[in-house]
Amino acid sequence: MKNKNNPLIETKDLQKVYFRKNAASIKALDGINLKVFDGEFLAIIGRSGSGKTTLLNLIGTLERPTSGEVKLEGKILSNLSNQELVILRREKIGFIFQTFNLLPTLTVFENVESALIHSRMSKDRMQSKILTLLDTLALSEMSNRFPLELSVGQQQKVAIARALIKDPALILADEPTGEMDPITGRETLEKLIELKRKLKITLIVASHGSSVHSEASRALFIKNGKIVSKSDAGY
Amino acid sequence: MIARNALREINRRKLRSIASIFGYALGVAFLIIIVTFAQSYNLVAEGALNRIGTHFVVYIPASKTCPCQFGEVGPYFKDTYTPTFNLSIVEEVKALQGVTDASPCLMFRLDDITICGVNFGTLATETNVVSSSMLVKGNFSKIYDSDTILVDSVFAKVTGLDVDDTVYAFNRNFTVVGIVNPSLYSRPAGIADIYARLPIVQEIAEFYGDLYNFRVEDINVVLVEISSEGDSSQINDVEQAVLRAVEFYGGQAGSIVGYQCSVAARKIIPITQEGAWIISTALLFFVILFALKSQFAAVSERTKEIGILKALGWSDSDVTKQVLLESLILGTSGGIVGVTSGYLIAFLIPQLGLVSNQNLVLAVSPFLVLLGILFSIFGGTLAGMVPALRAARLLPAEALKRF
Repeated sequence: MKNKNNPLIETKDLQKVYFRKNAASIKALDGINLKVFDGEFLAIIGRSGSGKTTLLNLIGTLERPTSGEVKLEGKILSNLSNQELVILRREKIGFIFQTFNLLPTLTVFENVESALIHSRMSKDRMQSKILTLLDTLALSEMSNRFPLELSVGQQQKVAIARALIKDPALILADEPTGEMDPITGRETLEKLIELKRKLKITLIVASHGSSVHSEASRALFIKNGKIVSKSDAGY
Repeated sequence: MIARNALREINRRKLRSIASIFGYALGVAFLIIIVTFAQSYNLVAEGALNRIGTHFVVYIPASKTCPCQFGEVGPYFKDTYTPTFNLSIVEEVKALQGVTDASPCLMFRLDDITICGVNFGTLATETNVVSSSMLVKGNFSKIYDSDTILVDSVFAKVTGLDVDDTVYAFNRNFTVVGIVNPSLYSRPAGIADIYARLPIVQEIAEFYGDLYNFRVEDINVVLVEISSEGDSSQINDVEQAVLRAVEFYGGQAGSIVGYQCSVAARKIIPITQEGAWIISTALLFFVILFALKSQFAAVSERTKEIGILKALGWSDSDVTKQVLLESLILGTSGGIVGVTSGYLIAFLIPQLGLVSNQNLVLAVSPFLVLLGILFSIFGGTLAGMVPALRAARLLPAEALKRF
C-alpha cells in the first residue's frame, strides 16, 4: 500500500562491480543510498561512465547488484525470483532509452502494444488506449508507420508512449534527449514532464547535461559510482 | 503478439528464411523422391521375381521309354513318359496353405511333337507355361476358338509354320493363331512345341488312350503358384505338402521342377530401400544443422532487441516461444514445399519419360508425406530449441549493451 512517508524506491549501500576475465574489475556503483518518493521527478546527473545507467538498470531490475539492496514499494528486489522481476518490469516500470530501442519490424502501434504482453485488457480497450496515447503525443497519424520512417523526435515519443501505456508506477529514462538537437530535446522533455504530471508518475531521468536538473524536483549528482555534490561532480 | 513478431522476423530476414525453407524443402523432397524410387523399383523387381521364382510344376516321372505297346505316344514331360492322374487333384493342391493358384496341365507326345494342354489365363498357367505377354506374333485371344493352337517360336521356325496356317497333327487339323516364346521367360513347363486348350489335348490323349490306359479328365502335370511372401523354408514346406498330395492321389512319388531364385533375390531389395533411407536421413541431419546455424545467427543478430523485449516485461518463455515459433514456421513451410515438390517430381518423372522401365509407377505413399511433414516440424523444433533457450537466458542489461 502506498504511503507518502514510505519511499517508492530505496537503495541501501548499493554496489555493482563488473568482473572481467584477465582484466581489472570495474566498480560501477559504490555505496549508493537514496530514496525516491511517489510522484517525484528525480534527475541523476553525471558524466559518461559515472554509473548513471547502472543505477537505473539496478532500480529497473535489468541487472542485480553485487551487494546492497534496492527496494521497490518496500520489496527487496534481490529477494525476488527472475519471474517475479519480469512481472514487476511488466507492470510497474517503464523504460525510455537514449537510442529509443524501438523494434524495427513493428509499426508504431505494435511497438507500443508490445509493452502490453499478457495484459488482461480486452483487444478493443487496448487498441483504444494505445490510439488515445498516440494522439496525446501527436503520433496518431504515424501509428502504421515503422520506426525508420519517423524523425528522431517522433521515435522518442513512441518510446515514451511505450513506457507509459501500461500505467507504470515508475518511469526510468536514460539520457532521453541525448540523440536529439537541443530544440527537439527540450520539446520532448517538456512533453514527458507534462505527461508525468498528468499521470502522477514517478520519473527518474539520467542525464549528463545540467538542463534536466532545472526541471526536476530534485537532482542527484553522481561521479565514479558515488553520489557527490554538484560542484564535486564538475557542474 | 508472439506469432505476429515471429512472422515479422521471418519476413525481415527474407533471404535467410528462404534459404532455410529451401533447405527443409530439399531434404523432404529428396526423402520422398529417393524412397519412392526405391519402393517403386522394388515393386517392379518383386513383380519380376514373382514371375520367375515362386512357382513350380509337379509331375510323376516314370520311364524314359514309352510304356505304350508300340510307337512313341503318351503323356510326356521333361524327357520322361509319365503316368496320369485325375485333375481333381488340382483342387486339393489349390486348397493347401501357401498355394496361391494351381492349374492342370496335360503334356502329350506323339512321335517327336509335344503338345501342352492348359487352361489359358489362370495365374499358375501364366507363370509356369505361357501367357499373352510371350506372344511373338498372332492373336492370343483366338486360342479360345475351337481347334486353335499356339506354336513355339523355335518349332514354328523349324517347320515353317506361321500364323493362320493350318497344320495336321495328332490326327486332326489345327489353325495356328499365335507364335509364342515361353522358353525366353524361363517357364518350367514352357517346353512344348504346341499349346492348346486342355480339353483338346485330353481328347487327343483319349483317342490314343487305349495304348497307355488314359482316363477321361486325366492330366500329368500340376502347375502351382505359391505365395510370393515367405522365406525359402516356407516355400519348401509348401512344396512338400504339394508332393504329398500328388503322391496321395497319384499313388507314386512326384517330382518338382521350378525356380526359387526370388527368395535370394528378394533379400537384396531391403538393402536398396535401407540405402535410400540412410542417405535421406543423413541429408536431413545436415539440413537441421544448417537450420540450427541459421537460427543461431538470426538470434545473435537481434540480441539487443531480445533485451528490449525483456525490459518491456517479456518473460524467458515468451522469448523462447517466439524464436521457437519462427523456426517451426520455417520448418513446416519447408516441409509443405518439400512434400509438394517431391510429389510433383515423382509424378512428372515417368510422364517426361525419364525412367527406362515402362512398368515403373512412382506412387508416393501417404506415410512418406506424413513423415516429411513430421520431420520438418521436428527439425524446425530441434533447430529452434537451442537458439531459443540461449536467447531466453540472455540478461536484459547485457543484451541491451549489444549493437
